[in-house]
Amino acid sequence: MKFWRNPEFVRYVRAELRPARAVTAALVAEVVCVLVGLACWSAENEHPHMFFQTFYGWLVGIQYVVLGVWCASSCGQAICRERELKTYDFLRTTRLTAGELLVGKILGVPAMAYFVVACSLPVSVVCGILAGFPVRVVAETYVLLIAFALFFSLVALSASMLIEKTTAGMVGLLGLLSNALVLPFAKSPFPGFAAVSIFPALFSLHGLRQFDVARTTPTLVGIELPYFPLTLLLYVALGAWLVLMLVRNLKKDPEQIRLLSRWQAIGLVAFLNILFYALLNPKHLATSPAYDTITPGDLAGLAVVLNAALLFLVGIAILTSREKLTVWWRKWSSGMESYWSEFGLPWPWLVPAAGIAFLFLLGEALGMLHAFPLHNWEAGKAALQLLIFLVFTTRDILFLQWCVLTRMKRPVIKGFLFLWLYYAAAATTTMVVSLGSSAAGRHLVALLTPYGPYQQERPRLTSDLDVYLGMALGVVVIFFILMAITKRLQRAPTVPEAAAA
Amino acid sequence: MNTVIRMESLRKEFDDLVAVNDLEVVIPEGEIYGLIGPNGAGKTTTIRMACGLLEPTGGRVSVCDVDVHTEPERAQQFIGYLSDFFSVYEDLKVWEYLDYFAHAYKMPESQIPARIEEAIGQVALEVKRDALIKGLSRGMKQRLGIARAVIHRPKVLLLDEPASGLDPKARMDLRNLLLSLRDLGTTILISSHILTELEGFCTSIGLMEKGRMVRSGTIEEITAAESQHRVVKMSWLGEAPGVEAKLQANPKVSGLMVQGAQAVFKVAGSAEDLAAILSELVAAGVRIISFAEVKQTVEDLYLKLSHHEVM
Repeated sequence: MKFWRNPEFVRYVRAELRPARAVTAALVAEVVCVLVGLACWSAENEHPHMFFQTFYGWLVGIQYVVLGVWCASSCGQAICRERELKTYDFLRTTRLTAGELLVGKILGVPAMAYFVVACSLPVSVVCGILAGFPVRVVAETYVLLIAFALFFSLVALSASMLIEKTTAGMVGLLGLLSNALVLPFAKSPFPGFAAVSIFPALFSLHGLRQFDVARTTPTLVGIELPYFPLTLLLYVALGAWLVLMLVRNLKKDPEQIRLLSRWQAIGLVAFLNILFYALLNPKHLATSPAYDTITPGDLAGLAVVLNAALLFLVGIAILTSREKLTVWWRKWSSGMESYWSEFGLPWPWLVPAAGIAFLFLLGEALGMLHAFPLHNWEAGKAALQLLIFLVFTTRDILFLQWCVLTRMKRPVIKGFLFLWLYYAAAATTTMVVSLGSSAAGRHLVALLTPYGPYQQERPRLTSDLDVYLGMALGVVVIFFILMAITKRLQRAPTVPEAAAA
Repeated sequence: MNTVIRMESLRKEFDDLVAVNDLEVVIPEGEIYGLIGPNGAGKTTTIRMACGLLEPTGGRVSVCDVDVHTEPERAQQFIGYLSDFFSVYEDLKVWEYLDYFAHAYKMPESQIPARIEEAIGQVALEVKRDALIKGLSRGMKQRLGIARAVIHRPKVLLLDEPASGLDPKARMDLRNLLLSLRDLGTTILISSHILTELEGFCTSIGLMEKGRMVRSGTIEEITAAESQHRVVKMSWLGEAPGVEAKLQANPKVSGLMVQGAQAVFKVAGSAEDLAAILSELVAAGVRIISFAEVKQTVEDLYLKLSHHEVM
């Protein structure tokens, strides 16, 4: 189906762009252009070239802000608002596929913003060319603008699908903040991560070298690449994952939403690991650390921390709803389902996710064998750290799964808060115990948290012993949580008396 | 007759509660099937599962032999759905709203304009065709909702308490519209706990209570199964002192109540037995002016069958 014939898109265009509104919006856009032009002229009236540059810069800036904020806030409300109004059920009972619904919403919800930008486009394009920018640069600026708007619309729409309140619009707007948050990566060993932001690509396209980020060059698998194609590539790749999550879930009941299947979750872990190593600039890797380099051992440590976060996120993404888990339990008990089933307990799937993370680390180490010997990577330490994180993450995810089986409202959020409380209590207790004996404090940290192996100042053997004890304790807790889950699953559902009669 | 809606071992659990318990329902083509039961009986859950909005915990629902949950987009072409409380897109015009859903149901492009006019005519909204929906009254919006549900000429209409909030005139209009749709061959599954709404309108009923189907079938079948007695009401002209004695003497008559020139009694027997009683009374010189079996209403059946545990 062509997107301009998509019923959802047509609906928004009809509602948003009625002739009177469209004419008013176009007039406002032109008036704003004139006002900005006059303001720029008053500042740069002696240098026409500078005037056009300033005018173009302001117009492009305004277009990015208008489109970004509009897309993020309106797409952030697109689904939750319809759920609140009870119109979404009718959409779900039409023959529109989730993909068609997605296209219609992404392009249709911010239709007015696209229209306003389109109205000011001729002025900004002419200004850009008169300012001396090549046509290619002006064209790339707008390709980037469209990619930026689509990507953040996808982020906001995902938030809208997951959050039941219209505050999802705020979540969408917060997503825009990532544009500023990732900028420091430009000067790190992973400059490519800064390309998630729109700024490095825009600054380097227009040669604004007064900004630090415009003077850095990112790499992809060690090859230097301008920010523009890398930003596009990242938006396409990350956007594809968001599209997958949306298409899987857009027509589902909120209770049935699960962002990814278990295999897809494993795929996401693999993809993000590939991205991590691909965006590393190998020039920043050295055997001894300096102010702008890291050692292979540090890189392995970073990979472990990244994968610890990924394990937790993947664990949350593959939690099973109470209903599905109960059905799985009945089938598994009667031998009709495997323990690795799509709707079984999530923990068995964390093991391959951690395994994949370690395999990628080994792959990177072997790939760079010509530059760094294997022992530089401290693979054994990384494996131990990953194992510890696996045990603690498994424990925490199973606890969240248990919360899902209780009658709590918003069990995942509450469970997450309980976990946060646990780690805060563990940290406070450790600090209090450390006041009496720092060694006792270190033992406690290793027992209660996965932070044990990160303590530098301890003798290695003692450290390892604590760490193993901590893991053993984690395994015992996992066993008890599994027992508690089993007990809940074994409960027979309540059949109302009249029905049983 | 073809089966249009089939629910097999349909089950839905919410937390620890079984909301719909292994439901077995078969609805043939052209039926108007009334799903009745108290609040909380599981009617809405059943309808939401039937139209694909809610995934069942177990069992399956098929509409026109298409599984609603494994082939949702295909099944939706046969289903029209309307719920009790709903909103419409207020910023669209009436015809735009219907045009949107006609396209969303993927009707052939060439048929859409004519079908929109037809649907607008069916719900008597011709004068509001080009009006914005936000200016319509509640009843008009409800009618527009019905037009939306039937815009793609579904074979099955699933209506969840469709008349709630409507005034008596609008209810009557809705009833007439549904009857005309039935005449066009549409099978209708309608849920309600307002029993008078379904009276004289449903061809079959299913009584749900606490997630379970207590009885299901045509009203005649259920009446016959549930009634061991026919209730007869008669009246006569003038004095007839022997009536009471005559009736009491008949072993098939029970529960006799005589008041003036009127009597109500139960007969445990067939239509032949009723005819025999009437002939006997006429032969005895009773000047009968009316003698009729009292038909059971849906409400009577409901009160007879339900356990009233949720209401």
